[in-house]
Amino acid sequence: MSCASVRECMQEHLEGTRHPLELAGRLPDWAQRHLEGCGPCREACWQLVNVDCSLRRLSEIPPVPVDLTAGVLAALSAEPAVTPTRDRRWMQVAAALLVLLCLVGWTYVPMPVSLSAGWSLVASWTLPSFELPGLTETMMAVCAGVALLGATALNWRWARA
Amino acid sequence: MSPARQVDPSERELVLAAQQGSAPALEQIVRLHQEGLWRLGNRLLGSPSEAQDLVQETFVSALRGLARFQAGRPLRPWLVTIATRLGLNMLRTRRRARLEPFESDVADASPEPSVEVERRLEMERLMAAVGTLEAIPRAIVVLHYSEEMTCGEIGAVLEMTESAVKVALFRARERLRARLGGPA
Repeated sequence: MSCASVRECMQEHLEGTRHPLELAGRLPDWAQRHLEGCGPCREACWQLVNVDCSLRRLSEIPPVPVDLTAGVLAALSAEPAVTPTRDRRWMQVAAALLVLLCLVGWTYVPMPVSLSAGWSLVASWTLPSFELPGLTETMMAVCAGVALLGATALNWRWARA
Repeated sequence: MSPARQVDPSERELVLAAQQGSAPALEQIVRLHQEGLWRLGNRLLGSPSEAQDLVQETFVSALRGLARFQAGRPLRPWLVTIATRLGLNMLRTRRRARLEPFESDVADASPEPSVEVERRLEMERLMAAVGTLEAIPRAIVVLHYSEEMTCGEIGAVLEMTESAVKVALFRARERLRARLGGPA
């Protein structure tokens, strides 16, 4: 085993140790045996624990400037006020209604002639006589598409607001 | 800072009130979190004046995004994420690869006991060593030791994998060991 692997092992067991002997005691046997015979790694063990203990001091709160709060509040007051969050429940209801409308339409509105022709093609393997869809069906499809796109765009815009 | 931390009901109410535009609620949020953000900025940037700017910018940025914040989520991780990213941007744009000497007042502290002065000097030495690290390893060390975050939590803030954070932390500690403890 190399010094590098022992040092990596020391790092893995470092968390929460307060003394080099504690760290050494946590190491696996092979690493402990290496430490007994390797002066530089023993030294590294001491230094690593010392560095870890020193770094824990970073959690101490340094003296806070007296004008910190005032500065933050002044910066916030320069910003436009928070826009109250909008209630988006109506959009969920609208989406549910749209889905319901589609389901009702799918169930009760007669299939356009062209689609019926498609079904008959599958069912009977005979060539159907194609006809253009009626004006009403076309208008309904266009209106539903526009409504769906509009609702999606509105939702996206409000979500980003 | 554990991800499983329960959200304080009063914090939730504060956030909801602030989202409705309540200035007192916003002020209370500032008072609750400014110290922690100040420490983070101070450790990350190594300069009290820049840390003060960072705290201000963090709260301004948070205010802009407050309407989209889910009131049930804990506020602190969100603020720490904003502050860390802003701090990293400040480090990058100002091209300060190394920290300036810590702006302390050790010289003016003559009446203090020598132990206290010694502690301050040790902290300065530590900060100077942390300041020699590159921006990302520095942020990892600060978030781990100053904010007591796990590698997984740090990964979420910096958009890195947990193992990548772990490796970076190992390397940063090894560099600090070499700098503070001398070569072994």
